Amino acid sequence: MQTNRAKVAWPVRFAMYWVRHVQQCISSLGELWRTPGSSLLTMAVLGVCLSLPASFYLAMKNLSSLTAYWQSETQLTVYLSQNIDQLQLQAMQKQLELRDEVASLSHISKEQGLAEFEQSSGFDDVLALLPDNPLPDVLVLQLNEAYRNADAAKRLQQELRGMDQIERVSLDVEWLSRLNSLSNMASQMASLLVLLLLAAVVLIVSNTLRLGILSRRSEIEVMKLVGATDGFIRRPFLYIGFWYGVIGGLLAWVLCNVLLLWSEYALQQLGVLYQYQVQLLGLDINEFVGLMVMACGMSLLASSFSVQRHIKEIEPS
Amino acid sequence: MIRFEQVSKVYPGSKQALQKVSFHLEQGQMAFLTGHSGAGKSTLLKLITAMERPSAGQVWVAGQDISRLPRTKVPALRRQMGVIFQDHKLLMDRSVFDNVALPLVIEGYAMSDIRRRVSAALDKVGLLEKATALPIALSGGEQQRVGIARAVVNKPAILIADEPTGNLDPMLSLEIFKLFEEFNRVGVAVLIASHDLSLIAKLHHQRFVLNQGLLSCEQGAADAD
Repeated sequence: MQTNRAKVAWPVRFAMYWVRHVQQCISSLGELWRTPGSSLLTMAVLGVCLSLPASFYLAMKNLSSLTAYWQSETQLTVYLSQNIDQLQLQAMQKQLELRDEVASLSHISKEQGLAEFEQSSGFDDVLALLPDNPLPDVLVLQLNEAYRNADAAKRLQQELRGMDQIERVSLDVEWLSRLNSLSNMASQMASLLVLLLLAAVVLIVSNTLRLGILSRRSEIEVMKLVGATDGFIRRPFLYIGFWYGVIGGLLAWVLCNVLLLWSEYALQQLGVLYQYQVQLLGLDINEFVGLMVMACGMSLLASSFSVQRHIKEIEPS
Repeated sequence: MIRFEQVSKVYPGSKQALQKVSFHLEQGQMAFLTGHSGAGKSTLLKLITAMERPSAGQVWVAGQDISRLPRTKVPALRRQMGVIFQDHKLLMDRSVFDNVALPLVIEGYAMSDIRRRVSAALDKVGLLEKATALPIALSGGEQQRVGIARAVVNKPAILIADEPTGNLDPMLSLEIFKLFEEFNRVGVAVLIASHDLSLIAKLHHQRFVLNQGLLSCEQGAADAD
């Protein structure tokens, strides 16, 4: 008996396999074009579903860049006691500089402080009446990168407070830590929402493909009758799923950018009042690729599940 | 080529469709399968194409026992035979050419090969000039001939037809049977299920008669195995 393997030489078979792949890839795009109603709707839903996680991501990214910026300004202001002498001051400076937490240290002497105060306050007449300088020596500590968070800064503050010759240590991070915990909570809620939305993507794609498969039931039966493998029948549907992912991903990207421009505009209005130049971060090229990979991946995954199951179910009878 | 050994088929919740059927269709042989409606003709053909599995017994096709063929091997089995259906089973949204080309596309033939073979098959059934038409634009007889072209385009060693002339007038039916005889003459084993007894009587081939799930051989017994 002449077997089928012998009918077509394997190099031809191999080449034609890829030719078919390309053909099916393109023809499935044509298929989408022919049924614009349902496919457009599906892709729009996918786009919206994917744009939400992407927007969450952007919001978190902007927020964390903002807090990082604020945290980079974390500094401790150490007010020394009045009666400290020059030697003690230098010792103190040395001691603080050697600490791990401290990146750099600047000294504002009593005299400097007074001069600055005179200049900025305009109270020079009044100040001239005072018998001596009421201001203390001040050390401003810039913290090391690793310690630029509310907890570490607070710990240091506590520690310095206990030292002799230190009157006060001021640190304005209370609100920063609150913001941190708020944004943590928000990001947890967001990841839950993202999971739900991705589940929605999977359900939408698999359901759309299920309907597509059922509507072409008789065609699939005929293909099976003339000896098509499940893989061969599956391929066009997988490509449709792939295109859903690609177009849905692109749509999500566009929506995300629209949202970004919109909120940037809104923030700019607010920023004018605070004289603060608002510049939001968008998706960079890596993140765009990530979005597309995720969109295509989710869509392909969903379609392969759905297609595998439903094509197996259809048997000619 | 096709051998049944004590094959029975029982559908759940109904009577026995086939009872211990045994026969042998040899390579290059042509035979008719007759019997009244519901006698089990379709069941028998479905067993050959692995659309159904026997409840008992063995079905051999091209030297292979297909009674317990795994699902994944079914496509390869179906590629070894050409099957013609009463309702044609054409893809209505594709051209005649694409319909006939389908088995070749599935098997991965090169484009130039496909064009050559499809043209040859369409020429054989006299539909070459209709290659670009959609099946819907063809008459019933023409659609059936497209189905035949699709079945033979792959040059299979076995040709199975289920009521190929069910909806055709006697003239067209005879024409189609003559076509099957032509394929048979070049060595293709042909099994045709039909209840067109007057037509079958005109052609002298082996006849398998199914009655209530039991098979008997008639006429041309000398050819029988």
